[in-house]
Amino acid sequence: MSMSSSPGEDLLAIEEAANNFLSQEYDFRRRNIYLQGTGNVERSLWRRFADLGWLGLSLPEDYGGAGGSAVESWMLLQRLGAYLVLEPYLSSVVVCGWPLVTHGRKQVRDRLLPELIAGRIQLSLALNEPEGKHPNIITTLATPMDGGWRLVGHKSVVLGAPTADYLLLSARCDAQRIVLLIRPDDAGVMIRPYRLIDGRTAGEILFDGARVGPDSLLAVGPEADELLDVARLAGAFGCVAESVGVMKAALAATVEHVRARRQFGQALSGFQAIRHRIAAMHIACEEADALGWRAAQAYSLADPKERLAAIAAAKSDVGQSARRVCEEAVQFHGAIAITDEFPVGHYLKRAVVNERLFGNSELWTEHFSKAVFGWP
Amino acid sequence: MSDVPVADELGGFRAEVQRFLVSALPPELAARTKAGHTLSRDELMFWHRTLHGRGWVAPGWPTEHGGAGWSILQRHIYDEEAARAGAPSIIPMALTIVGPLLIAHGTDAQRTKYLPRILDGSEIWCQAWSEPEAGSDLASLRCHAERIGDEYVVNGTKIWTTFAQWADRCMLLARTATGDRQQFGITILLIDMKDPGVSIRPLPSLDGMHVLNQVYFDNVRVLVSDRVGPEDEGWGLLKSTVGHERILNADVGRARALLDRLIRTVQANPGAQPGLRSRVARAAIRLRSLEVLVMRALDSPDPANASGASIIKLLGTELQQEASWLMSEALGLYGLPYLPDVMQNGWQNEIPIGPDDAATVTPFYLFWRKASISAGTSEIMRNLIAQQVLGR
Ligand SMILES: Cc1cc2nc3c(=O)[nH]c(=O)nc-3n(C[C@H](O)[C@H](O)[C@H](O)COP(=O)(O)OP(=O)(O)OC[C@H]3O[C@@H](n4cnc5c(N)ncnc54)[C@H](O)[C@@H]3O)c2cc1C
Repeated sequence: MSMSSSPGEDLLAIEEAANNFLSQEYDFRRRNIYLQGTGNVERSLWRRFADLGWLGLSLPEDYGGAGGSAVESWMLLQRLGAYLVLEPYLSSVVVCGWPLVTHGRKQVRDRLLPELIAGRIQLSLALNEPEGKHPNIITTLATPMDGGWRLVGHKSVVLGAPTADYLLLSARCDAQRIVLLIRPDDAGVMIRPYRLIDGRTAGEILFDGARVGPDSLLAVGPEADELLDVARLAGAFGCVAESVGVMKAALAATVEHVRARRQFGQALSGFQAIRHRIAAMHIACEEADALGWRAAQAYSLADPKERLAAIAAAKSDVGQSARRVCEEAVQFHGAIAITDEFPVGHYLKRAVVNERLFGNSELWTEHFSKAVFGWP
Repeated sequence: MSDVPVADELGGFRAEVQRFLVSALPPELAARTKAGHTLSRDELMFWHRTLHGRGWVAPGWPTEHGGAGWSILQRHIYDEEAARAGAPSIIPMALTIVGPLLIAHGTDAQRTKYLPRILDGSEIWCQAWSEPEAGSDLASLRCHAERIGDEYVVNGTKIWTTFAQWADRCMLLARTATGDRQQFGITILLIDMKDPGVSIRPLPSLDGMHVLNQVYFDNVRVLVSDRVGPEDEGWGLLKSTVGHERILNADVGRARALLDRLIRTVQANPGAQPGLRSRVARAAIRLRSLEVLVMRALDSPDPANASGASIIKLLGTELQQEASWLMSEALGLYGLPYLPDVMQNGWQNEIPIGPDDAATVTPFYLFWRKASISAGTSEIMRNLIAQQVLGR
């Protein structure tokens, strides 16, 4: 296996372009205005993401994408994290778009992916369930009826659900899993929208006898299992990449703060107690970056086990360490970081959400042990 | 969780506290407190007045000033029982700082004017000490007071002033002189928040709630008779009064109440992961050592100066933070939705999203990052402990 140890010039160019755009259009003040808004209904920024080539960055050229691999998105997702971008990039493009490249009924994929890349639609994966402590347990029922299905169940804390045009719904059909493509405005589908603590939108989705037709079928049986696995991995990877961006931003803000802030007649950066912990934050960022980079590269590997191991390792580690770094960032800022008017607390919020979405550290440590050592 | 054993004679006191809490604390209020809802001013003041009716609102004040005259151990027992029963923590500034300060260093006229209205809850106080440039290094404060005739004229700003938006009065630390030592030249003034020169900018916190403020003073006039102690010498008075705040800001009672809630949350989520359970157990173990450390600190003759006080502040707040994080984790994805109305009012007519109390948990975790910042940051605590261990 050949793996470059760090991003080359072409990748750094993606980062720079993202920084240029986001520092103009998504500085903290503007973000707060977006946050007060209606949650991306007007989609003007989403279309600009499409124009910038972001939506199709790691999607095939056949569908209008740039044909990049996961490493291109690794660069971009970090920036989306660092700027605390609220648009449902992770839930729509990464969690739904990426699996659709290889999985699901071709007819549906061919229709959805070009629309997604062009910024005309948003997608969301309705996977989690209220009792589903383990994400593999699915109780939402799809009962075959008149060639289509009748749906009964409850999906919880579905990221990006309130603005999605289509939902990829996981359900149980007889003894198998099934993934259906449904519209939120289908009769019998109810969404209770809300924001998460980090400002992104999510919702509860209730199915009370909704009926969907035969063309909503995306995948069934082993094909559905695989699609969901790939989606979860993509979600985990996306959270890692975002959180690495978040923790780097938190560290940068903290470095700037402790240099500028003076107490007891000297800069905070002069106190050794602080210096050592800033060093520890920096080390944590380097480690997280290394694991995330390795996970991004693993997407190009043929061996699915190694891919799983790399992503599991990253999700297991980065979730926690990003949160810890952000907690330290809050601590070293003092009271100002407890206010909502200051960005540092928002880094912490984003890190907390990403740590938990698509499985927490403990779960991914289990996945890692299983993939690498074969431990149950 | 079990009580730390205390001397037999206090068993009767504990029982008396328990009886009072059962009869006086409305179950709905206790439930709201335990569920971590943001209490309204009315709710907080209701409980203030209820305690006042029983003569317990100022536990540590001497009886001749309307306090309960409790020993430090009795106060500890009360805090434990109150936390367990779900009694709200009342707005503390006037009772823990201003009152003791006036009792120790105020004039008779000041005591007569202010203490009864603190006790009966007709006046809320805030504590305007910190400034944008003066945080941990409080003695570097600059908000300025100039003596003109029998008045001081105050100009400057204070920040992080808790509940300034509700306060009728504030205890201000002002700069009246500059010298070689920063600690010299600080004067304590009692300010009427209705003065037209006082204005407030709210600073919403990470949970979206409004507790913190920046306060601006623009030519605010204060009578010299509203100065506490001598001019320029407020720092010394402060040092002798606030020490007790540290040990008695109920860090341990609060840690215990949070752990109790954490354990209820984990028990209600049978699917909680084994790793989480062992971290909960680890937190409960740390609480046990903390309980003994508190008893030791309380037994020593001058708890304010014992190195124990800093250790307890540090460990107590760390434990609270850990418990609030574990609680959030125990809720899984249902720890993530942000529902500010539900945080305040609970679920009314709608079907709850996730477990009933879930909405308050993660916002509290976020806000409670403040516990290692306010009332002396953890780093300052460690500096104090190191000083005690190593010498200067
Ligand atoms: C929720 C909340 C409520 C508050 N309520 C009030 C109130 O009602 N009235 C009031 O006057 N104030 C209040 N405060 C302010 C509080 O007292 C200050 O936040 C505290 O003194 C710390 O100051 P700072 O926030 O400016 O942080 P800073 O002092 O700037 O500290 C920033 C970081 O540097 C570290 N640091 C500082 N000095 C050292 C050192 N020598 N060695 C190592 N590390 C160091 C700190 O530990 C911290 O991590 C409140 C604060 C909060 C968060």
